[in-house]
Amino acid sequence: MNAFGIGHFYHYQGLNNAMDGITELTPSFQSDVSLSNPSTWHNLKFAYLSLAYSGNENSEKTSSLSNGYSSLSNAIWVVPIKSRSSIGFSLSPYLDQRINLIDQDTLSFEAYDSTYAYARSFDRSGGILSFKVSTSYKFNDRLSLGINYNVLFGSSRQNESISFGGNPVVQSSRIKYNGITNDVYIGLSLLKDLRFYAKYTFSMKPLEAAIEKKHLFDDVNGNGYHDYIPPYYDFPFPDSINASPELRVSNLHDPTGFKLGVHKFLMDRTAFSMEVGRMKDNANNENPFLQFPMPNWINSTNSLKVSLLHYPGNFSLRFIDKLNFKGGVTYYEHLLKFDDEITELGFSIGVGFKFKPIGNQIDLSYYFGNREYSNISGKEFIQQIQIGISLADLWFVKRRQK
Amino acid sequence: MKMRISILRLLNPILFSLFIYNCSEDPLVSNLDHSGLTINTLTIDNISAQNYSVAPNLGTNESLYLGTKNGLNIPVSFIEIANNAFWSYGFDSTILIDSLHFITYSKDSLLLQNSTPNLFFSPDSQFDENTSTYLDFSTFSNLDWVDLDQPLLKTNNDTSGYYLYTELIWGIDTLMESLIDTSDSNLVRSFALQFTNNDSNYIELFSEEATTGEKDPKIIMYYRKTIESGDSTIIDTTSATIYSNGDLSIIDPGEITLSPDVIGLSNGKGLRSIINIPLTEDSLPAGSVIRSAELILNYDTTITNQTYNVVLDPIDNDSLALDSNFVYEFDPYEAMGYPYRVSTDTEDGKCILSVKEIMQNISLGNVTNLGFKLISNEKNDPFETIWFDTGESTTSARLEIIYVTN
Repeated sequence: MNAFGIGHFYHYQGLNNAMDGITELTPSFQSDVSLSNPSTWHNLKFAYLSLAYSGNENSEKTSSLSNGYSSLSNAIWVVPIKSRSSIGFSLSPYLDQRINLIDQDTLSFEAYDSTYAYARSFDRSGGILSFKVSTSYKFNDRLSLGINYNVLFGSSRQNESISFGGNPVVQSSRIKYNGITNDVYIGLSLLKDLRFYAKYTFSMKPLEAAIEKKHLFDDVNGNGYHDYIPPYYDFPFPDSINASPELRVSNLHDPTGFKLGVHKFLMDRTAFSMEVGRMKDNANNENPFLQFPMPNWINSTNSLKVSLLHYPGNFSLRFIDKLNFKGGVTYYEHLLKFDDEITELGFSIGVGFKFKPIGNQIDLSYYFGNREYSNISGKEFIQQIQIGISLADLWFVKRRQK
Repeated sequence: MKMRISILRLLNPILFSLFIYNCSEDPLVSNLDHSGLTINTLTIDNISAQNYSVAPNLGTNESLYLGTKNGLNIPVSFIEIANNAFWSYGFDSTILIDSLHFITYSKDSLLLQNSTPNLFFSPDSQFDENTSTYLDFSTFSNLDWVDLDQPLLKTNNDTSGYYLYTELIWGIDTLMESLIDTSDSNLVRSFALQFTNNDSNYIELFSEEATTGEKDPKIIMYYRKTIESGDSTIIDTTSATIYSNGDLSIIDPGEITLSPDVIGLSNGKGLRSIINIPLTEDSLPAGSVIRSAELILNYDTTITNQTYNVVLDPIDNDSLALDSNFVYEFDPYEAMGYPYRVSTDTEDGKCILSVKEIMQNISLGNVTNLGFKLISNEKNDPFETIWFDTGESTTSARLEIIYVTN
């Protein structure tokens, strides 16, 4: 939704990371490992530090809107423990809150025999990060369990302004967020080449916000900040005013849902996987301040992901056997709280290159998506390119002195 | 190792393209009618005002006055000449003082000898430029002063023959001993200008505030200095200028009749006003910011037809029972001054004062609204009075505020 300048959840924006491709539950990083699914981590032979960086562009063809940015999309460190359990930590963006709106018309009002033209604008920046502490345990060769403890935190800063008579009057606000969600993962191998995965998501502490609304100010020096850089002092003088008391708003985001995945080897190193899921947001979101500029939000999401995977050979020295290919199709159906609907059809391709015997890997992926809105005629196109690098090593092993 | 280098070579352009990825943010054009910010106005027209009088002091005025004009009487003007090292020349055996001239300047090209005042001298302190008023000189007499008669007039023209100014020159050689009297530890060289006849003459001279020395009241000392140089003796004929360090016209406003529907400002009459604007912390919605706040006062252009600079200053002390018929020796109201003091020139029958700063701070609760002092700028012509309408008419005072609220 970023082309329209109203922000987005990162898990609905292309790929989570370049290493896992389009899927989350089913193995794609290695033939039996998905870095997004802790219940598979005990299959790693080494500890991995993996970083992914992405560049995104959302565009809207009919109105020539285009928004782009690049950022770290995932950083994860996973340590397998004796092939039976594992622990991992990851940091990734969760919600992008970049918003930039301007009034469609220049309006006017009359006061004291004068006519003043004015225009309004709204911009917001910042977002929410997700810090996950994850662990897994393999009960036996058929069943494994994984858990994510997902701490959501972050802040955003927004300026709502009305410009007339030369400079804008600005309402600045700062919103600090925190919340905790949990994911429980199950991995099940019923047949040799057929595995099933499941994930259940629930909120331990629904997202809440602390809103600090600053006093309105006349942005005389036009820099968007309430300051006193001479020779132009913003009005009123910053030291003369106090911010409003902090307002706490709870239950802004309360996701509950599940996802099921199936992974089937078609050939020795080629596999097919499919994931279906449903996520529902039980948030109240009744505070009008946070509903601005759009009093609607994603209430539920149905997703379908299909992927074809080709894994590298473990011992081959041929260049082609060191490559990992992944391609997939994704389909989202987002139902908004108040009737509207968003659908997205996306395609992704990715290639990974495995090097060194321990399995270091570089991944490159590309995603193209097409979003349609039930209440907007134009389509939104999403392009995302990601690069990831995963470095393997033995951690916490006492090495013999040479 | 070879493999690693080749991988890095492959990665370099990809990483480079990602890092230089041009972030762009096109704003979305949208209907923001549901924005919380709105522009509103507030008009306050039940503004009350009251005159009060303070004995006028024109110490900072750029002119010295004498005589009667517009019903105001200036019986005397004082000039004090500064202490200066040149006065010690009277005791220097190598210096011979030839003459002393006391000079003041006028811009009146028609000034006549018989319209000029007499100069008087006193070796005592007679006035304080900043505080003395006519109340201090109700029994003033020049009988104890040394009368130095009327001046000689010298008209100065430029090279094209156009008039520049007139010098009023008094020869004050007879005061030599008094002016250099070292036995008087409290010697203050006070001069006074007064008309000695009863004609209703009027004269206006430059005061020390008018120029940076050029036309200040002054004494010029003409002297000869003997300089011994080896076997030869040189006599240097020259002069020294000793400037005034204070001057003041004593102005008597006489009786002033005030109307309840008007407020007046006048430096010469000592006329000032208190204005009460009923704006409180609750007058504007909480969190509002004022874009403009203009106090509009209307005046009669048939009475005041020249530009008049008006000063508004919030009062800093508690209100007191004001007596409009009483002439206060000092202004009973203390004012806040910077940054809330504002001033403006009147124009086309209106005086529009921007009071945004003080009104915002009143609405924020930072400043208590105790009223405002409306005074005339000290540079205004003291013989002019501006009368503002404060009655119930449509031209009475009002405050117009445009503010933004959330």
